[in-house]
Amino acid sequence: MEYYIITLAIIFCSDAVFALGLNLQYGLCGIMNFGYIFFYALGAYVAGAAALGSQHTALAHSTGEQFLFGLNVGLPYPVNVLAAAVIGSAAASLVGLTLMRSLRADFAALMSVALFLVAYGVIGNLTPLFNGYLGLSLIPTPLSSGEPSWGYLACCVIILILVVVIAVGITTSPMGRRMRAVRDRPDVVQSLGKSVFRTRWTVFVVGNGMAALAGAMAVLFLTGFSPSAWAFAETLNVYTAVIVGGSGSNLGTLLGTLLVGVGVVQGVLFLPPDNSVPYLIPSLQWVVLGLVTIAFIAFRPKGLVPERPPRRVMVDRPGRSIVARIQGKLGARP
Amino acid sequence: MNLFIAALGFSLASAAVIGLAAVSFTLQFAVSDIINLAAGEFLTLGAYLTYAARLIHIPLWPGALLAILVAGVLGVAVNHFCFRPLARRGVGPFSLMVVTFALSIIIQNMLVVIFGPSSFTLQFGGSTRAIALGAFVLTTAQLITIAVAVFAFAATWIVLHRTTFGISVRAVVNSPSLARASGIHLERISDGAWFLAAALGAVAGIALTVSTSSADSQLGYNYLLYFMPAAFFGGMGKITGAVIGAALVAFATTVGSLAIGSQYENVFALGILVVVILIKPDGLMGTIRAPQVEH
Repeated sequence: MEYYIITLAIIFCSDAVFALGLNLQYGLCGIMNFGYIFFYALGAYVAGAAALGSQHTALAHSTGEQFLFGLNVGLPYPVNVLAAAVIGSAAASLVGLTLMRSLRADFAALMSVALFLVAYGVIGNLTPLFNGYLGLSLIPTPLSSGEPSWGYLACCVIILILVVVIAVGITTSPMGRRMRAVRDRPDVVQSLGKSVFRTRWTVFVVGNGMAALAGAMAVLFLTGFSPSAWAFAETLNVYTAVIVGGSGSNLGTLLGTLLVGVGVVQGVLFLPPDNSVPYLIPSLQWVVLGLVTIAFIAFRPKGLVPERPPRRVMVDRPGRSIVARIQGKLGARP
Repeated sequence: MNLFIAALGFSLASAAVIGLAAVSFTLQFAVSDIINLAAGEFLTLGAYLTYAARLIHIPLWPGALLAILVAGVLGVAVNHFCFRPLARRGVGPFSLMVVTFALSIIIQNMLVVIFGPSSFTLQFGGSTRAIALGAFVLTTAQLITIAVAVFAFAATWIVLHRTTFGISVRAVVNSPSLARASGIHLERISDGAWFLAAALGAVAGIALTVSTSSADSQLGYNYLLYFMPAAFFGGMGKITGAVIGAALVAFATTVGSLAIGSQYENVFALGILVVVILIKPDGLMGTIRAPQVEH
């Protein structure tokens, strides 16, 4: 039982970081990113390879696992997670240069699908990079001796708290207001001399950095990672979590992760397995997730915890907000 | 050189299937302005429905015809019971795209629930017999695929250009409000277009299964990365453009897989998509109508 609680808690921490990043992109800034899980995978691979390199067990060697073209870069625990986040953000900053340009937003979304499919095909087929379709395995979990430990959970909780602080900080900052403005009225943002592209790009980089961080947190606990773990469908989990919880609301996203990520996805594992049709429950689970997503979009688009309506800004201080500044210039006082 | 000509022949067969799927995808986008990530699922549905017809001992050809009709009806149902009510509730294009994504996963997994996870084949006698036409060597299945595709393209063209329904569809695509003002029943036309699109998708799925001789619930999803670039290359919403795009994608992937290796052939298809979106987001043929409002 203790084992199970630790497992669920660590998975929740990772999923929550993952969902918070998507909430910044989809919920707050209106970026449609169907390649989001690629950055999760990138983080997982980087952290996994770095952990393997630092503690390359003889067992892993004997299975013929190959990664990073035989380059053995070993990084100790907190550093490899950090490296994953940095590399994830760096990759996103490059991809974002093309993806976040002011194309039709749905075309950009389609391009993110393309990005995902290309990355999936290349990583799966280019075996020397991250061991192809077999994936990485036997990755050592830090701060534990083979069993899930409270120590690693504590580290995950600390990371989650940091990410929540960052996410809430961004949401309530002038940047957060600009993000919502970009989502709702990009033309207005443009006309006020703020760059829509730069806002989107920044959010894209930060959000995908969080995805990479989440992937790193998960992989060090799961001890293995292969392309089947980041199939296209898996993206639905995190979208459902954000939409059910309340897109645009950080609290809602956490709640959605708890309900969807831990409740539905993990909870299903408690059902008695039917060995005659082993595919039935996983498939039905996907059907349920899809139906829940559509139902929420149809009947409760704001989610369980709706985004808080924007606070009226009363302070007339330069740099405080776009609205306040305009109202100041026009001499209007709310 | 011989290899090159053989590749040309082979790409003709895949161009036929990609073209059918791309026309289905682009037609459906043209009338509804939704990029449908579940477009591939109509291919899968076509294949599975034919398979189901065969399970109840209906021969391949009538079974396929039945499957195409049923898939068309399912397409209308999706439009009627899912997208239209959502659009009427004021759901924005972003959320609708998430809906199409969810729908694609629902359909895939429902098929697994009903038919089981294993793959199946749709073959007829002598379908793998090779026939040489000059320098081209094609199997009977590929030849029939090409013939069916040409027939389907011709039928679609005639429907869209020579019938009242087709003219109404094109009017709706050009300007929904003007079409409505001229007394065109918008919803009936969009239902009809969805039927046509879904039926064409089903034809593509059946042809694909017959010519590659295997299908599973991921059939259409895996094919997404071939027909989407094709539709984009021709300009979203352009039927002829989609056919030309399909020819290009088929040729690029065949040559690419000859040059580098078949496991990377989808990278070529998607390479085309990325380049087209970056250089000319509205495709190489024609323009997209008024940009949609971003939400």
